[in-house]
Amino acid sequence: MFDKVIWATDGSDSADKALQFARELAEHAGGELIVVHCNELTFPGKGGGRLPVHANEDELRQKIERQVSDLSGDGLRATFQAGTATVGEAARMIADAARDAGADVIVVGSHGHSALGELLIGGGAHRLLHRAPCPVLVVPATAN
Amino acid sequence: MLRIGTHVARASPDSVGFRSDPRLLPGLPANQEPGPFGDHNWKRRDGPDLLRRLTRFKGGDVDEIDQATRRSAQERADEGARLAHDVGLQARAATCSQATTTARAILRHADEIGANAVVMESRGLTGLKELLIGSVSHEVIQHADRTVIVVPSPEVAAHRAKAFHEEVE
Repeated sequence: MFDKVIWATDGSDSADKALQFARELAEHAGGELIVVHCNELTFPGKGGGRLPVHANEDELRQKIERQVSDLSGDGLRATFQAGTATVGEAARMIADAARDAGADVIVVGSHGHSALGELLIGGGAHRLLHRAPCPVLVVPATAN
Repeated sequence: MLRIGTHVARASPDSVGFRSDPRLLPGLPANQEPGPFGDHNWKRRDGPDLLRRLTRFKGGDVDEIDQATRRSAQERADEGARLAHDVGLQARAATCSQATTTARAILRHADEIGANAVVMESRGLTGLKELLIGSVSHEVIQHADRTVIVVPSPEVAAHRAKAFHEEVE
């Protein structure tokens, strides 16, 4: 059913929680797990420079690469796709990756912001719902 | 009391199997089309929606609205269960009436039955429509403490594919 599973991760704990589900889905179907990470960049400053939204972006990326390596080590067909996007546009990049790969499902973690938090900070999972070409499985941080 | 009908169909999909005893809860409001099980031939009916009923019974008997909404919810729950059954799941329909938002009613019911996941269809509302009408799936995701699977309807998926190709071109 889910031959191609995308796990979209920002390197956070809630994304890690979603990995358990993504992995189970891929393993169950004997399918491929595509790990997608988007490095969100700030809007250009005066000098035209753009910075990663997450100051520890390098660490996050290294952590994700280790996770992909571990998945492959466990016998799973896991690949890593990294990209960049302007802040708030990660959902577009993930949806495009899903479309290009012909993914059957996208698995993401949810930070569970309050309504105000959603308004102020925005929710990647929510944005993804507006763009995803396939089902989106959202795993809340509080999921058991 | 005016009840906002919410219908659910429970399924035990062995084929999905991401839990040892998985139970999925496809949750839909009474005035929303089911379809998360991928029956693309499922026809949009001229079924009753709440707004039309409110108009018809304007100033009338609230109990009648209650009963009509309950019947509508049951019909749609039955339809959802049939769709789930058609794709090999063990499913049964259930409805509930609660004086709350549709999303919270779905989540409360999911709590009651210990569902592992809630499966919903995305109506694809954006912008002002989403703001005014509200997005059930968004509210469910925001408050859920269990996994939620949101499936774009065939119409929504086709619309997004078209929009994507237009962007690329």
